[in-house]
Amino acid sequence: MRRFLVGSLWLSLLGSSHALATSASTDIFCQKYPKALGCESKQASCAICHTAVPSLNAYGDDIKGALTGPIDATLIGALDKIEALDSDEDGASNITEIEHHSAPGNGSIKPEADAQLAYDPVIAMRRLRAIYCGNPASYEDLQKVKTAADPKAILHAELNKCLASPFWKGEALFRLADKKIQPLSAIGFGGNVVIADYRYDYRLFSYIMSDDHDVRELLSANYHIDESGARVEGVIARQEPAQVGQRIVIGGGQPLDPTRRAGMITTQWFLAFYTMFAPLPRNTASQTYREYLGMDIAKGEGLMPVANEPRDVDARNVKQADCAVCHSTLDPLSYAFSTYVGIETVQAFLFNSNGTYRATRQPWEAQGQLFGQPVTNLLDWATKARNSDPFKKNIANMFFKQALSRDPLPSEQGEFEALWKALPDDAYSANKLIHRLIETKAFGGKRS
Amino acid sequence: MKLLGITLLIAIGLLGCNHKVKKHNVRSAGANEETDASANAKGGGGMNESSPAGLNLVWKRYRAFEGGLVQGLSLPKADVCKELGQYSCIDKIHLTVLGGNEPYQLGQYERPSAPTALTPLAVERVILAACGKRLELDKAAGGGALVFKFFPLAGASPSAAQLKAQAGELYKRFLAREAEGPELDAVAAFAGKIANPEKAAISLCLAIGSSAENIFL
Ligand code: HEC
Ligand code: HEC
Repeated sequence: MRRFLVGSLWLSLLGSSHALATSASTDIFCQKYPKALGCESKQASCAICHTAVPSLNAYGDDIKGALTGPIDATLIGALDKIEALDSDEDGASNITEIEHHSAPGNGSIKPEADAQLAYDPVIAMRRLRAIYCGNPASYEDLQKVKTAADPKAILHAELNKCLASPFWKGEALFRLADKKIQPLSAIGFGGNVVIADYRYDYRLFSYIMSDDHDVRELLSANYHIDESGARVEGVIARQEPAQVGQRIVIGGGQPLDPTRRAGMITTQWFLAFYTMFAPLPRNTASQTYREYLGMDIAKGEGLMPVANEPRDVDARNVKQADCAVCHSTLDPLSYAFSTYVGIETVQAFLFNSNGTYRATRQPWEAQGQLFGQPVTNLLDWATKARNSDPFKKNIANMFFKQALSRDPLPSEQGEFEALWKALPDDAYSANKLIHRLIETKAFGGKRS
Repeated sequence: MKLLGITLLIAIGLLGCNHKVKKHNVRSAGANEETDASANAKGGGGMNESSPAGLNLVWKRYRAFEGGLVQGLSLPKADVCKELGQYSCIDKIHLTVLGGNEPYQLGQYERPSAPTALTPLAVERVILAACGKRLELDKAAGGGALVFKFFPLAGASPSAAQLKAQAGELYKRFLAREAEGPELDAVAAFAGKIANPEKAAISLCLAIGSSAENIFL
């Protein structure tokens, strides 16, 4: 199934050789207009000129029309030529929009868009009850907000109740983890071929994301959570004995030495499911980069090519230019994962070895890089990752999307930035981030 | 079965007529874009993330939607809706169109980002089932009816005043607000047109319960 996925990925990325050239458009634009909306990250930048890459928005179209040669060489001139135009016909010129943190290629976003919204605690109450309690506000609840001297105090008190509820901890947070864990009951606990028990993954995620725990533990926890909700230190044995026959049970519990653990990315399920039998665990690294740092290499995001890579250490033919676009970033990201076992058969049956650490598994552990910095092993990788800005942004983006089913709009970038930047002040508590989120105009704004 | 079909027709008639009023509701409820969310919810075209319409509305997804029925109609969760009398409409049958996902068996790792063309149908089915259940309970309760208590459920066609009172109750229960004048007038206009009081009760319940304002926040 993975192979199929990866295969179709290549097909959909026939244009991938441009990926490097296109990030040059961003560099040129953002050097010229460093304060422009979208320049805060490579990912966000594409939307300045594209609707969905490679389709251009109105501003991108005008740029294209003004190019006099290859984009890399003539973009600067084209940008100058169209500054006075109003590409998206929203009444504000391109340069005005660029200078006022707005979007020259999106007619529904104007420089003053933000000013038109007023915070409405009733809207916020309606939303927060549905989103965080799974139980909408009643007539009486809303009356209380409408008549309160300090309605925000009621919102925060209500939110506290929601975030402590079984709905939030046992359902909403579980659904937030689905894409990170990708469970499959046939090969999980109680399945026909048990490679690992992903129930630990859900419990660990929910634990870390609630009760003011430090969300960076997603990439550092060396403990697990049992069915009663209690923390368990140390190695955890299989709950079901190993068996082969009608059912095959080779995994279960959490066999990895706690000193080698890095939270969600070293559970038995994560390592077994994503690494499987691969000598170089590219899927595992890519999934971590996508789900915990918010960058999807398959979509050309987060490319930071490393010199002399990919070396193609496992002879998969990734040196060709068409593959190197991505693999010059991905392979160095993957080396640190290569000393962790994915799936084994006899070893696993006998010793529960799926997802364990084995220094001799491959020789590449210390040869990798993350964010252009060398990493000595997976713990080092995870430490750099969880203390990075992409990690914080990804956490904020997760909750923003969970609440509003969309990414922040360009006009909301200010509020969004404030959310993730506050994480250190809030001791990296997800609950505190959500308390900030419900106070944003993105969450409770009403056109005034 | 036949009764159901007729009821639906009537309810749809009511809905259609109520449409203008509802647009107004959605705005006054504070959607921060001037969108026609009710058209989105009913129109079958569905919404998607790229359409500015609905960008700023929040979909009341399956659990909150269910919670609204449990709370609004004072029903036990298990009674809200069961397809074929046994499978939960919300957790099984209509889960994805109501905004959920089932990861473990079906490998759905993401919920849909916006309602689809099938969402309004599922919403109506669930609401209709829940309204029907409440009606059954209230009929059996006689004088102790909880929701449908503003006109006798057997007997004469309800008057305009009775319909208004019932609608006012349902606006509070489903939409957590008082009904507005024009909304009540639209309801009153049906006095005399629906002879059977049970059908009148169900139609009101369905029309108000499935209004866009109950699906988008
Ligand atoms: C400043 C505007 C601008 C930005 C920012 C920008 N692009 Fe482009 N992009 C263009 C224009 C203009 C074209 C069309 C060039 C042409 O047809 O000659 C284009 C073309 C493309 C193409 C088609 C390549 C080809 O040669 O056919 C891809 C793929 C692409 N961009 C990806 C991206 C990605 C990914 C990003 C973000 C990292 C991005 N672009 C950022 C303006 C931009
Ligand atoms: C657009 C980026 C991109 C390009 C181009 C690309 N890959 Fe990959 N490749 C990935 C990602 C990302 C993964 C990890 C799977 C995932 O997360 O989707 C991957 C995984 C792989 C794997 C591991 C698959 C497994 O099941 O273990 C191999 C082998 C591979 N790629 C080979 C290639 C080859 C050969 C080419 C060129 C023909 C190529 N890739 C081009 C991004 C890319």
